[in-house]
Amino acid sequence: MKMTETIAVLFIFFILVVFGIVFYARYHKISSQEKQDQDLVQKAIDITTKVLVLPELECSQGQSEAQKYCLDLTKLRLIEEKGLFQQHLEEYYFNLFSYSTITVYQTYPLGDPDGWTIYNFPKPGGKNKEPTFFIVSLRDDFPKRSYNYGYIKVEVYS
Amino acid sequence: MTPKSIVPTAIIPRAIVSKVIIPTAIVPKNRAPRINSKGQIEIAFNWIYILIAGAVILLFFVGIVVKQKTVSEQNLATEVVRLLDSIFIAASSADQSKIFLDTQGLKDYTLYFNCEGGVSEYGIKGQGLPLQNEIDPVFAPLEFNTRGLILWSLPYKFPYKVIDFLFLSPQGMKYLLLGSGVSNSLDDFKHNFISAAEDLNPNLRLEVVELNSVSDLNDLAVNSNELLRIVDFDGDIIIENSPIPSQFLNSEVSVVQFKTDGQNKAVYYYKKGKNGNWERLKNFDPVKPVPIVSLDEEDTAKYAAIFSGNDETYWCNMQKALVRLGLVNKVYSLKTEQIINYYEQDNLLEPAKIVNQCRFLLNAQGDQEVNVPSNNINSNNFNQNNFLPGNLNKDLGSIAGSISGCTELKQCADLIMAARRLNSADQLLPDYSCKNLFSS
Repeated sequence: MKMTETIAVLFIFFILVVFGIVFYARYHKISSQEKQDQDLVQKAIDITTKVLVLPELECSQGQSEAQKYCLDLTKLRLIEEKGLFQQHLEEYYFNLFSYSTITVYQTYPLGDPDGWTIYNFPKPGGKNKEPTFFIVSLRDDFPKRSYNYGYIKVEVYS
Repeated sequence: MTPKSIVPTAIIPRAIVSKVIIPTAIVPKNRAPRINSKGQIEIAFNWIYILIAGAVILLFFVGIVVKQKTVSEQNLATEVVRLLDSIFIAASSADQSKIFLDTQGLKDYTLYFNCEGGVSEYGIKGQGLPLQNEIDPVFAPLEFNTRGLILWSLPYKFPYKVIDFLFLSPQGMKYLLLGSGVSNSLDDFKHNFISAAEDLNPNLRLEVVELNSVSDLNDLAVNSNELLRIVDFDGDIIIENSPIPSQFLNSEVSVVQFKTDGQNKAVYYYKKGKNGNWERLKNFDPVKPVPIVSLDEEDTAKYAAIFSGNDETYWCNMQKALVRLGLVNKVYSLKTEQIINYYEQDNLLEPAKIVNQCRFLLNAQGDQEVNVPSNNINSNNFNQNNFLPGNLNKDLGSIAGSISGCTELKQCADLIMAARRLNSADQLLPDYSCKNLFSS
């Protein structure tokens, strides 16, 4: 009789332990997922911030501070055309932009709907994608200096 | 009626049971002695069993809690470092800004910053995973405990913007500025640094003490464990192996010294030696000094030297900037081609006179005789042939070619000269209504 009682107590104890472990594992899984999502959003914001002040793209003004949230269309076109970021992806730009796709679209006057994709390196087998958008002005120096408007889209993969 | 035995009697050998002697006085007559003895042993055993099992279970959970606490602390440290990294990214992205970061919660932890082989590593000493960074130059003391950090971002231009430098200064760190800087042509730099260190917000103000001579340094009162950086602008006040003033022996003091020899600019670092003398750091090279790759009008690389932990971390972070210089230089080379090709086209919107002028300027080479084609062009500007805009590509090529060799003063001086020529040439173009690379 006592043996049965002991076994019953142990059984319930282990049931409770297993229940606790399962509960903790689920909680841990959900919180890890939330953390991953948060990290992905943070990464997207970090990369967008980096792109906005990229010396390769910014509208320089000599010794003065560069024009804020402005991209030089000449540089942008050349970087896309020559695939400069893709050429130096492994030794440099991957460390800067990681697994992401960076595209600039011109909305006024309406530009190419495909935009200019200056960096494209999706994560192989990546499941999540976090797009971030930021409005920018686009300075065109040819034939005459003019300012267009558009937005930058940064998609980060995980 | 005989009570039932809990332990089946079948498993106890009869021979053993019969040998158990139980005093009859303590055994009630109506109870079987054999069964009672068994029960007592069993109860005692049960209690021992419960105690052991309880202790084991308790130990198991205590172990989990201890392990979880350690893991949590490590995770927290890693998380803090990642958070710091995000703050650093935001701070360095804000051009020419100073930000105060409250690190009150980290005052008992030692933050460390290192850089070797072009890779920075920073984190909390002995806690969590450090963060590695191959891109962003962060100039900071090697190790410190602090309640607050000043994050100062300045763009590095050579002559176009290459990258943003981030300087970290722990709250309470004192900068002792030694010498006038006149002998080293660093007078303006010294005064610029003093005014840049000022700020209306006391949290963002760097503690700067101006000293004119060694005697001022010897008379200075210093608290023990104080974080001090002596900046020798004259380049000859701090001498290798000379004794350190006694009041500095209990403080965290180090020296950065600027030396100029003609076009060559270099920086030396000193630390407290074992015998109480100034010991020159030779991590970068046992003999060669660390070159300063800076244009006179842009002193960001010199500012960086003041905030760097030592010669190795300074050069390691500068290397990151030089790698980026090569990449940004490529973009400007492509843009130069674009400008030249633009003026080669027919039917341009600009007046023919300006187009011809720009064609001439962009194609004129520094070593050819210049025939000014238009009255608009002031021939005095062309006395220095090297500054001709026609040399834009040549200067960009010189920059690209000199970067890898810039580990010695001579090669770095060539790089600096090419950058200066490019800057002057590019500044000429807008004067003649021509498109330029980066000046406007």
